[in-house]
Amino acid sequence: MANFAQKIIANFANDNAKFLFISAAAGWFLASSAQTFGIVANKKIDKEDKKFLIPQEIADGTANIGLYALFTAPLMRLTEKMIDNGKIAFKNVEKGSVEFDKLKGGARVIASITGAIISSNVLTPLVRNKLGTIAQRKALHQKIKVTEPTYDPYYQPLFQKNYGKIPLKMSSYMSFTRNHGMKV
Amino acid sequence: MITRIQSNNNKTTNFCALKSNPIKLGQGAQNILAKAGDFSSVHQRLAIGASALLIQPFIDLKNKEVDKDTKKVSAARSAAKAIIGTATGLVVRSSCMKLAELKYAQKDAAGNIIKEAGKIKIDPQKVKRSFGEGFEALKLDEKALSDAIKRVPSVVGTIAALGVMVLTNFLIDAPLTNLTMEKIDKFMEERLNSKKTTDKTQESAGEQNG
Repeated sequence: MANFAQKIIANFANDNAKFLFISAAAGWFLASSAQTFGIVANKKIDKEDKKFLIPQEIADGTANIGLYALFTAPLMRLTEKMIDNGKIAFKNVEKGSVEFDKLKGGARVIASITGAIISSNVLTPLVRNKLGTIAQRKALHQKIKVTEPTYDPYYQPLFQKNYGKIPLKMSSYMSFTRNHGMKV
Repeated sequence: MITRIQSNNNKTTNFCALKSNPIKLGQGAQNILAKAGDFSSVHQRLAIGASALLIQPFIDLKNKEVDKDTKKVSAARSAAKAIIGTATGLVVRSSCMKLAELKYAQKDAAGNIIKEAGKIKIDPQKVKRSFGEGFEALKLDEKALSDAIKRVPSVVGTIAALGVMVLTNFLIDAPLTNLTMEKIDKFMEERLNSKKTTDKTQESAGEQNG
């Protein structure tokens, strides 16, 4: 375990771009988990609201980290590839030298930070607004269902009394309504 | 970057022959990249926070779905959130990194911390004692090893900061953000109400004059 921790720290110290990428994702994951736990533990929020807020918070966090990873990791790879292919060239620096690796590392760090800026400030707010609208519609729809239950004749007391719990068919329902002088 | 290559008849562009020229970085850009290699999570948080402060209120102000007053309130809320989140993140990260630097600092015979160009000098032996096996496995050359060792306090400090921030999210971030949001909402409400009252007074005065 101690050896594993040593390898992880040494690896992160050697590849700063990878470390910054992972630590930002871990930071967002922890912040999102803390926020979700905050909703779970909050006694002021009632159970019905929690049913919507908790999945919404989890979806929000997942969108945040997912978009960050989906956008930033390819951007870092592209930067590295462009440097290796010579599409981005350095002045007076030989390919494969220590200086070349240092500049490549720096370019990957810049790519990692740029990815974080674009994903967290542009992509995530756009997706969050869309998801928020969907969640709001769903919540509204569910609330209508709770306050105004849809008519279900199978569970009408009169119907159950005479017909028992037989599966409801349109023919039996029609005959039931005729028997009781009801108009449909 | 894209070069237009003329075809043989010199009238049309030969699209198959379009080729991109390499981007040649100047000395200034290379100096920035050399420094960026040693950027820590503090620099990263600062960049994300500063851009959030510039971009997010702007997005709120451009939102066509809401009315003018809501735009102003949401922009003010986004700005406050960015400032508080960034400030807490920066304080926690830089404090943890400072503590890690002190742990691995090189000291003279009298026990005083040695500084180099205003920065705490990291003792490679102390770092190797803690993470020697990890660095040995990487088989780095001398220069890369020296650079990696210098970054260890930043890595250790950031990892510690992630743990600390789980607590500060609850104890500082959330209450401070809520308090600020309440104040902003109240301030904006009062301001908008006073503006409406002034408008109404001006309208009625205008009608009387008319």
